[in-house]
Amino acid sequence: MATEKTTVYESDRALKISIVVQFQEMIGDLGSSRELIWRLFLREFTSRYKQSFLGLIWVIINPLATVGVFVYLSSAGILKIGDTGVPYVVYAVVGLTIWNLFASCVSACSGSVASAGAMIGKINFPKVSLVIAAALQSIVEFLVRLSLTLAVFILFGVVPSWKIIFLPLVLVPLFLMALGLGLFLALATVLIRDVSYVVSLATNFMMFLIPILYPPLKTGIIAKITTWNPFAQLIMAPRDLVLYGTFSNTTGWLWSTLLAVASFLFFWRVFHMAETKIAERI
Amino acid sequence: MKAQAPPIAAKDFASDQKSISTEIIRVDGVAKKFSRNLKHVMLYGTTEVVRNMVGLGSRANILRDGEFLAVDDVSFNLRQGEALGIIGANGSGKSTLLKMINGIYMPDRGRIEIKGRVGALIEVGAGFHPMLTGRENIYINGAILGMSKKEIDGKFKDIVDFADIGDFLDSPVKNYSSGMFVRLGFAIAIHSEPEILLVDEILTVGDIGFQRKSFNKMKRMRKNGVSFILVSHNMYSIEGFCDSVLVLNKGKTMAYTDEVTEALSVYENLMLKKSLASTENRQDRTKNTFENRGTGEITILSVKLRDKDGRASREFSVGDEIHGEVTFDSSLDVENPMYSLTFVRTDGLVCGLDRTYFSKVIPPRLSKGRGKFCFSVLNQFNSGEYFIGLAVSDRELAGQLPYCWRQMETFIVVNPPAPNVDEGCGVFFPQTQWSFK
Repeated sequence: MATEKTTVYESDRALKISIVVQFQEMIGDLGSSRELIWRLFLREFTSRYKQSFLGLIWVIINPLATVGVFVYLSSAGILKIGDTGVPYVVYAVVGLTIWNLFASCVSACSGSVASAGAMIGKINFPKVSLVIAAALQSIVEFLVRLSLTLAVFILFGVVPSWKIIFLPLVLVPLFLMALGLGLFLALATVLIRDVSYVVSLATNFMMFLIPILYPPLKTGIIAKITTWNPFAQLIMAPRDLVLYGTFSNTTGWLWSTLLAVASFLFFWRVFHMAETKIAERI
Repeated sequence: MKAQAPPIAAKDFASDQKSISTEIIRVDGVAKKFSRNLKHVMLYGTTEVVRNMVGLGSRANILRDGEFLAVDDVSFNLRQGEALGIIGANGSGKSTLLKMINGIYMPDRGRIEIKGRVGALIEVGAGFHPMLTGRENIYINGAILGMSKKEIDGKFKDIVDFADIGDFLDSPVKNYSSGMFVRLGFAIAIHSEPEILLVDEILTVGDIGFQRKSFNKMKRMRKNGVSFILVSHNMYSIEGFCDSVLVLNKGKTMAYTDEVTEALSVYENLMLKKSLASTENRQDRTKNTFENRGTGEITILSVKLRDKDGRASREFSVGDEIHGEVTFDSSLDVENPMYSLTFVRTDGLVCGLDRTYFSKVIPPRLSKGRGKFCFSVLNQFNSGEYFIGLAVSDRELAGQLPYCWRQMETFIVVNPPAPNVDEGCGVFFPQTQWSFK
């Protein structure tokens, strides 16, 4: 009856096994919790929309409202938005959809562990599944927003580049970046609850720092920041691919991709090592 | 300390497969540090992770500011089909130990080795989502406990039948009664096919019928080779089920033996000593509860209890002499005083009363000022804690309020051979002489 596999619990385990074994464990955790991730995702999904009248529609109301405000501001002459190459609404909706994948993933992940609360102290399960389930949530929302984008394309008679088929691939680094940050922020939120406020503040600020609702600037401090901002690179690349079929800054995107992968692996490992401490802090 | 013979249930099962049942859990010198201060908790946790990231140990041997050992150097092992009971007062570290065995907490020192799938009932229904239906929660909880959808599908009917939730299966669990909630949680956990089941105070929830059903189910599981670790502060649930008992006090092992009754008596004595230790508080309380109900013309200043060798003591065994020395202050002269002594169990039951008059003793005249009297009784009480009540009155004014009448000192009785395992033991310890022909 007893299986051959022996589980060992001891302190400083990370120091007693090689980093390869550690990553094997982490991947093993992920594999063994596929069912759990799916169930947690379903739980969150159904419970979130069970008592909501408009349900998923809320997901597209937000970007629509943001774009609406900007369209109003620019048509009223308060704000001067430069040439975007395509109709402004198309430009803004595509940008926001991609941005929201990042922003909603980061914010959903960062709260995921802390909100699981009591369950963590009572049951042993890979906590990474909570974060992944939250990230899945943001992918679903992204798909819903993508349908809004499609509607906008049709409405304005804009044909996206055929290279749109590479979109999922180009989004992977952005998603990994968001997931890595999400893993780290999930830990940080367990330690200090204030993190969730900082996250929403930072994402708001970041959105205006990246040329999402306005075309990239050629000169000035914002232009410099954009060039060196890996988040901006990771978001602008897929947007440019959809709208123009080109990358405006391939080198920048490649470096940012490298950074995204590295930071994801780093934060994943940090999460794995801190995982057993989470239960003690909650 | 621990006999090697496997328990009967395990033997039955093992005889089919192996001659000796295999060791399934080995806990070796395990310790866990906790901190009372939340700020420290956050700081220390972060430090440990950062140290580990750069390849440094987490200095497990050092107790930092504000830290204490919730579990201190605990070792035991468990064979297949055996059941271990962990018993201790609140805060003795038993739940922490259980959580370490389950992998929720990592030990700071020592090592835990486990072979097989562990199921845990640390809190029934943890992970239930109140908005979702029982059906949905079965799948979620099953997944949390490591079951695949296929496994849950296969067990679904059994789970629902065992939980006996009937028409509520498709209602949100927030509408469940607490009994249904517990039943469903328990049903899922025991159907997750664990090889080792960790149970924390579970048998104290639910109605009697369900408790019995769960207990029988656990017995059947044991026959099939499932090992158990039962955590409780209730001795009865451990006594009937476990092969060995681990008694914890403040994180330390007080006893680890397969003499279950012996371990339980260790535990009981421990609890009684605890109650003695808290007597200081109790006396504060009793000052109010049992304030002088007499006229107050005489005040009792102190009661000192001693054993037969004259040493101050508040702990006695059956057959011991209890000597008391009472100091009082009187504001009047009493020609014909009468002294009374009562014993009251801490739950309020009056156990005995004696008076100088009953014993046909005529005390001398009591004069104004400080006085003293002594008594001596043979302890015949069962294990427990008792108050001593004292009264001084006037023999000639029988029926009137005494000058002084209050309950004061407590003492405890510890009878090692006969732990007071049952209310039915009563207050009197009949030191029976048996003979057989």
